[in-house]
Amino acid sequence: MNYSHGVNQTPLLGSGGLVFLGLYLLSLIVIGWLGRKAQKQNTLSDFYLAGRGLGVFVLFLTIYATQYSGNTLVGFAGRAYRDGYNALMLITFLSAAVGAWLIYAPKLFRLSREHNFITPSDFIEHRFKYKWLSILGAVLCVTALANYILTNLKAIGYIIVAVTGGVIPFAIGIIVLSLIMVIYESLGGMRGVAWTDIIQGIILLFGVVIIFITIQSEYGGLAFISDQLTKTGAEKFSAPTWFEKRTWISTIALGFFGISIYPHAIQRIYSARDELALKRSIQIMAFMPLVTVFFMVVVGLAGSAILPNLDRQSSEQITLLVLQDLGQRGAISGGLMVLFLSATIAAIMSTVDSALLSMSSILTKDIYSRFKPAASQSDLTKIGKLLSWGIMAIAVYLAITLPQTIWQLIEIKLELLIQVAPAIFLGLHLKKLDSKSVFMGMVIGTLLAVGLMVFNKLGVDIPAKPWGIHAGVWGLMVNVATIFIMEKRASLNNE
Amino acid sequence: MSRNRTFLISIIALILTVPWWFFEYSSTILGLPDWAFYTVFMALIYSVVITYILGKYWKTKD
Repeated sequence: MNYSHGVNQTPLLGSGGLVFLGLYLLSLIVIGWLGRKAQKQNTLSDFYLAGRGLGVFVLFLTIYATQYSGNTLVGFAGRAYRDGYNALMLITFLSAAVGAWLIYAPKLFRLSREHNFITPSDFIEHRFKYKWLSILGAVLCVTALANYILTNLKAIGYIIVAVTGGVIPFAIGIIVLSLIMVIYESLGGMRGVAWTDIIQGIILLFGVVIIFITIQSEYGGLAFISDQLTKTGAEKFSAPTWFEKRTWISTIALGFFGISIYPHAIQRIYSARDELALKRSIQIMAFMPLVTVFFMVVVGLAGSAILPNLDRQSSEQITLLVLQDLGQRGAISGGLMVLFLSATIAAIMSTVDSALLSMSSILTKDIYSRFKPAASQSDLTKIGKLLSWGIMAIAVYLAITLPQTIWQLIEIKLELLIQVAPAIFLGLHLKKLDSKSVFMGMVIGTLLAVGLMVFNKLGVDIPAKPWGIHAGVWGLMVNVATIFIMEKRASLNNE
Repeated sequence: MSRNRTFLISIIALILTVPWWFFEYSSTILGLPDWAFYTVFMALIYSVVITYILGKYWKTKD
């Protein structure tokens, strides 16, 4: 995404808006400090899981704010601009992540209480008792999280440039916001992050709903969009071909097996105060794709109706362009512009802070504590906080300096993470499952997924989505097949 | 209803959100192409299914 092109170079926010944004950012540090004051024990469980005490309101908003990133507000609309109504697959992409929780959250929550899990690998370790499987799971989680943090940091830099009209440069924007995030994260841990997510989630929800309502009232809504598109973009009405339908179901699989097991998502399951709080939060989350993703797809479609023929780079900025158009028509006030831009920044920050917290917990609990098994809980918590600062420093440096060719590899996130899914889904529900077969499945699935993607990026004549299916989903299928073949062989040998 | 059956129902509901039986655009419903309307409607049904199954079959201890 490059917000320095297409959108006018005049700042999107006036001085009043910038003051509001500054106050909002300062309030996050205050909340982090309050989170520190509320700390009950100096333990990993208290720091990384808020003492396992999040009630429905906080839990729902922290899941919501974490699951919906800046990509939802900016990238999804851009995709709808280019792909037309086919972008509606993004609704079920995120619905599937909630549906997957139906399959495993109840059981995982109970186990997490019985065995004090902190990270996803804690479950894998408990279930399979195989060190290398736990480490591989942790490495895949950390890699996916690192890529996730990097792409979101880069997006935040561009947004700041657009918001200030370039007065705050890209690199300074990333450094300042990263500093704010790491301060409130290391002060308040999960409690601080979850409390800031309350503000971020509410701003996000309001921002999305208000822009949707404004589009309905100002342009004439879906009927206007379809009328315009019949004249300028009739191809956007086409029903998906068989190839596109396979990509659609593959995208759903990525959401179901990938988004649902993002480590920060699993840690929110662990953080619930009780089963009822978790159940209610998931029930509300089931409807959020319709409220959030559908609305942003409509923003992208409205953009293609009023501003047709943008190139790919400009279409990535369609949300901001629609906002500018609404502002010029007098349909939205400066206050609404502030609200939506704050929502975009909030969405990115709430995702990055959660991923950072999760990554620090995995490095501390799954990696560092293996080498220092005698370390006390307070020492581990201290190490975790130091790691957060270290991770953020490296991420900021890479986000500012990485060449574009490397960024193509950074896009590999869900394709990797999805390979951990069998260990969790099958591990929870199948009693007889050997650790070695799960390990081999994870290794082979990862090699296949990464191999397909890397060869494609390097220009070898291999499609990124053979037969319309994502490389990660091919990897997952081979992963699961490996597990069942090895299990079958083992049972035949036993007979 | 057994646990496996509830899982199966939710997965079938998810698979049905893909507009498998639509091959061309023929009409508009509430401002959306018919197949797009089907997708949004089925996504709503899927959300309702998840919420219902969670409410009815997740027996909490609290």
